[in-house]
Amino acid sequence: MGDLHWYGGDAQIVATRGEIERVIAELTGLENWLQSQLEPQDFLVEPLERLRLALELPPVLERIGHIRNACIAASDSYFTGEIEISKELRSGNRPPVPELALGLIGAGNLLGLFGETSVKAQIVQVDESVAPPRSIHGLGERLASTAKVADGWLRIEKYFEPASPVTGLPGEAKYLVYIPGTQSWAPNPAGNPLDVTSNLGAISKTGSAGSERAVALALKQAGVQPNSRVLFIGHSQGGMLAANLSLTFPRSSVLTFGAPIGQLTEKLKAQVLAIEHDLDAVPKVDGRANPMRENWVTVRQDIPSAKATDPIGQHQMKGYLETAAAIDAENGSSKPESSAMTKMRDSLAGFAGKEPGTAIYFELTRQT
Amino acid sequence: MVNQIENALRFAETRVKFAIPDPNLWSGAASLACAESIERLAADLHLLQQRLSGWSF
Repeated sequence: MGDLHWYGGDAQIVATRGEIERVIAELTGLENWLQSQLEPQDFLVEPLERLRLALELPPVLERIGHIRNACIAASDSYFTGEIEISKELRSGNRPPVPELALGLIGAGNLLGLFGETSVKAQIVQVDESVAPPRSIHGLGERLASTAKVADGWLRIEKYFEPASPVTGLPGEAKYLVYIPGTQSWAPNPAGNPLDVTSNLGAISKTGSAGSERAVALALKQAGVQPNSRVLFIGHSQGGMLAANLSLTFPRSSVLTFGAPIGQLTEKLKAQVLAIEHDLDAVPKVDGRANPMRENWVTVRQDIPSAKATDPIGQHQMKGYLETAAAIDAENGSSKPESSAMTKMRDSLAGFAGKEPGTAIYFELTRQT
Repeated sequence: MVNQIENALRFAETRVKFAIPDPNLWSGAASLACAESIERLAADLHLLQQRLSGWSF
């Protein structure tokens, strides 16, 4: 796998390149000047004191070098995020994706395509005593397995905070919602709402896609309240739905794999960990880079060039699971800003807690 | 009499403080850590200057 790089997740930071470069230049100047105090000719005057200085100076120079390198790393870290954003800004004018999708829906409707329908969510299976996920890879694995169980299935897990030691009352409920990506590519909406029609609906207007409305119905049946703590996990279209749905749950968090969610830049207040592959075209469908925000960490992965020719492979959950494992393995010490990413990662990975919970499977269907 | 080395270290102590980031232009955890490291370095340069000036055979 290639290198992981990420941005966002920090508290308000002001970082001007000019100021960091000035600090680096000052430190370099001081380092050079101190080194110049130990030229051979200097030892002609006060030779013993110079000798003592020569013994004392190396650790000082080492510390200056260390601070300077940390500044360089900080600069790289800040401006990698900026570069990611500016790269996409420079790549052309941002297409009005939601408007285009709405236009496509309108044109399609004239041909009898992309027409939205009513939807249904029905409980089909309940698994008791499910162990909580403990890592980003674990969350991704459950998402991938949900997509494999059957078309149109959704998984909602319910866990509880530990009971109060004083009152003995059960703790607060927490929900994890696993939403697969697009499963039906037929332009005419049929049984499964995780289809192309929902793709267009999800990116054009929140709350309009059939799949999003079906997930909302399932949430209601699972007992999720507007003030509940919810972690939405989604791949591709599922990621879009996750972000859209989080707008109505103020205490929610979002984990996406290869999903275009930049169109929600102004609206999304949930904690977000967005995982994208550099050469995956799907998360770029929104036409804009994810913002650099305190509540929003975007992790990107360079896929080695051998796999670069496989655009579908770039988008599949198989590759994203490898990236998720790399995120879990990141020790957080490679750059000064990594704490923001690891903090977000640990918060989502540990969201479910330690006690076993219940998994409810729903079948989502269109009523055609 | 102040010798050349004392002067040099005094100059270094003053100069290193110029490297402290301006919080209006760079703020946040990294900037704070950088400023603290530089302050500590300046204090250590001051101690070094005192040690060397008191040093004699």
